[in-house]
Amino acid sequence: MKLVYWALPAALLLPACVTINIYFPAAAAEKAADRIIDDVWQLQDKKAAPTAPAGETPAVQPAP
Amino acid sequence: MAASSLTIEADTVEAEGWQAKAVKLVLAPARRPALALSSQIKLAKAPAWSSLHAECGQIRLPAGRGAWVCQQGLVSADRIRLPFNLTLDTTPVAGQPALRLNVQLQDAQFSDAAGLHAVEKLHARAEVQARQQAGRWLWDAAITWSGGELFWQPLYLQGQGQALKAAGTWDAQALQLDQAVLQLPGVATMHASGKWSVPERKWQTLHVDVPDVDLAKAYPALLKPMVEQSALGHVEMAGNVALQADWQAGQLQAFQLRLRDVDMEDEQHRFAFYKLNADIPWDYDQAQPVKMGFAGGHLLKVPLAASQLQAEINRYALTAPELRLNILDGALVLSDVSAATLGGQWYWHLRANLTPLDMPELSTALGWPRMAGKVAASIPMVTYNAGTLTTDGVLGFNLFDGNISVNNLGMQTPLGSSPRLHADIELRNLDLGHLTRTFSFGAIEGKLDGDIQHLELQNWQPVAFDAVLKSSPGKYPRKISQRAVENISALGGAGAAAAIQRSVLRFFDQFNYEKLGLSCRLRADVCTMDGVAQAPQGYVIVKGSGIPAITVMGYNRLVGWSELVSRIRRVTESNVKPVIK
Amino acid sequence: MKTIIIVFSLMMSMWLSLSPAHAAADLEINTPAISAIKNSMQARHAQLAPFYSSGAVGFSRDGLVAVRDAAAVPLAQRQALNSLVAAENKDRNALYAEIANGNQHPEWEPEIRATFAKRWADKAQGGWWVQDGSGWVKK
Repeated sequence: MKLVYWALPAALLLPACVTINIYFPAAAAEKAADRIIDDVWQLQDKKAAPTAPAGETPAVQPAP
Repeated sequence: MAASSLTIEADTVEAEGWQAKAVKLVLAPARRPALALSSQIKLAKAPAWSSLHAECGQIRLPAGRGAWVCQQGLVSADRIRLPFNLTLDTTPVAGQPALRLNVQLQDAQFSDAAGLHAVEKLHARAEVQARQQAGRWLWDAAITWSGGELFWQPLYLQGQGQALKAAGTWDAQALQLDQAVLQLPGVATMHASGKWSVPERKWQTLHVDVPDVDLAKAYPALLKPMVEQSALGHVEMAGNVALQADWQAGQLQAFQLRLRDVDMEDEQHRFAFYKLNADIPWDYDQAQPVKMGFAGGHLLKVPLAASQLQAEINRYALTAPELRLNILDGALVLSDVSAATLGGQWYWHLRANLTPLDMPELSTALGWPRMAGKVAASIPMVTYNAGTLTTDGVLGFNLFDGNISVNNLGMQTPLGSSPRLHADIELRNLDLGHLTRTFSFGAIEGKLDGDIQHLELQNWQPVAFDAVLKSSPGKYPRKISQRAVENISALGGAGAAAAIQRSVLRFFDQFNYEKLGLSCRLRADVCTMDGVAQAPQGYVIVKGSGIPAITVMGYNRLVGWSELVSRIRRVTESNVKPVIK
Repeated sequence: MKTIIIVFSLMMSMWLSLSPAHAAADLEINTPAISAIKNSMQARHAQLAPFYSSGAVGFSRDGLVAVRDAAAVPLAQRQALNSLVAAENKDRNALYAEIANGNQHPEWEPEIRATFAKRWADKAQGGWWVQDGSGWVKK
């Protein structure tokens, strides 16, 4: 009970010294990342397409 | 031999740079392997112990002095496998100590943990001869690399008869290299001489001379991997280069680079130079004159005519009173040029003047709509600080019989993946007839003023600006064709244009106007629009006058920018088709 | 005086993707700079994918890619692999910075990078290698 008595004025005072923080929008960032990754990996277009078979020759031209 | 085998074991062996433990050497000439060494070894920098094994399948030991022979030798350790044959002859020459070493590597393999330094299937032979004379060793060596692959980041080479021949002297103080020749067949021959200080572990003096490099072969093999991340990383090259360089006390002291009839073309078509000739001397202590010239080329699609450039290089700074790049019938003249490189970044400033260029030719070369007139500009001061380009003063252009001036022009990473540009642009008295014909937007007679403030481009696309375009004040004929009215209306969507066709207006080819104008404040892909006057619920874009007068109104003040751009594109593209009357 | 005044309305009734509620929910990722980087990465992906599958290249903790096992690649292709990885990382670093800048919060770059690092790893295909707190893991 004692605790409640002194906590009440503290709670009233609290809004007076609030600083406005813009928090990092984690959910929005995750959504943005997913959209970009889907675009870069073209996951929407070829979801059904199988991954490249292992051992396939890489498409990079050998340096002469 | 009487003794059938001899075994030597050591718990630990320590030396500068490495240590070994559990060393065991077994010598058994009659058996196979005749000599075997096994040990745990750890280099000073290595994190853990690894096992090392070396053996000779067969050995021949000299009776007294003579040749030591190790055949079917093999050194193996983690990621290392070196099969070899070795002959070491220590027979004295003219009573002095001497040795002759002959090593042959067959099908050798090596790789570091990261795989960034590796050889595979390596075939090579080395011959070293040395004899002592007057307290020092006279030596010569020959190494030939006949087959296999080498990757020494960033270089990849295939063995095809590369050969190194070298000779000199050696004592406790210095390794003297009298003459070394490295032959890279078909690419270049390099000569070197110098002195390696043994106690200091660096080159006291070194002179390298590469008289004749065929760029068509040397660029892909040697240069491209070195400069891959720079502007010269993806270029086709041909021609010849010669290089001489001198180091003193481990520091580059001077070089002389000569380019002869070099052609280079960027694979992304950002630049090209043809018949480029250059003499570039450099000296750590003295300023040197640089000369460069080319027969033609292009830079960001702007065609370059034959030009000669001269400058002075003073250690890490370059200065030139004037550099004249000939473009079509005019020239870009850069004056009071001063550039310096510091910590891998470039800093420079200059003044620039563009002498009048023929616009029809230039616009065709740039792939723009053909524009009439001439363009000229003067830029009082351009500064480039490590990726950021800024201009002081006003850039002036003369285009469409009017004036365009650009203020506060700045750019970030102009050649990077996402270049940015900001500027304030002022247009005065542009001929609307010229302008509308050029961009196929139906004919409008008159003059145009414009102010585009706080323009910001990312990757050459506008992301923000405050733009006002309106008819110039003053007396001049003001006429707008029916087609232009249709096109302005079509920006608001289909339907509006059809409405004109259904009305009385279809009987008139053109109308008079009092004033016209449109403003757009672009932020976050949305354009906030306004016109030349307010009207109930909207704004006036074209205010008509005389008979018949036509007034074009806009009602929507917030317009999606990408949608607006694609509509303008549709309108101008559909108008490019010839109209048959 | 017969003045025909015809008033045409410009029916620019375009959908606007920027309502305030919308802006709060999404991060802006459609700036020209971000699109340019994305296109460049998309074009490169076909070259990188076989290296992801072979294990030569993996996804590192810091939202980049790294050469994990160069020995999986023939010597002749190792430099091409290095350049590919360097170019990809240049784009990735620029992407994270551009998203932070494009949303007027340059200081968000580390969080954006961390978000991407997690999502690249989560979305990686089976058989690809990703770096977690303890080291390289095959998915």
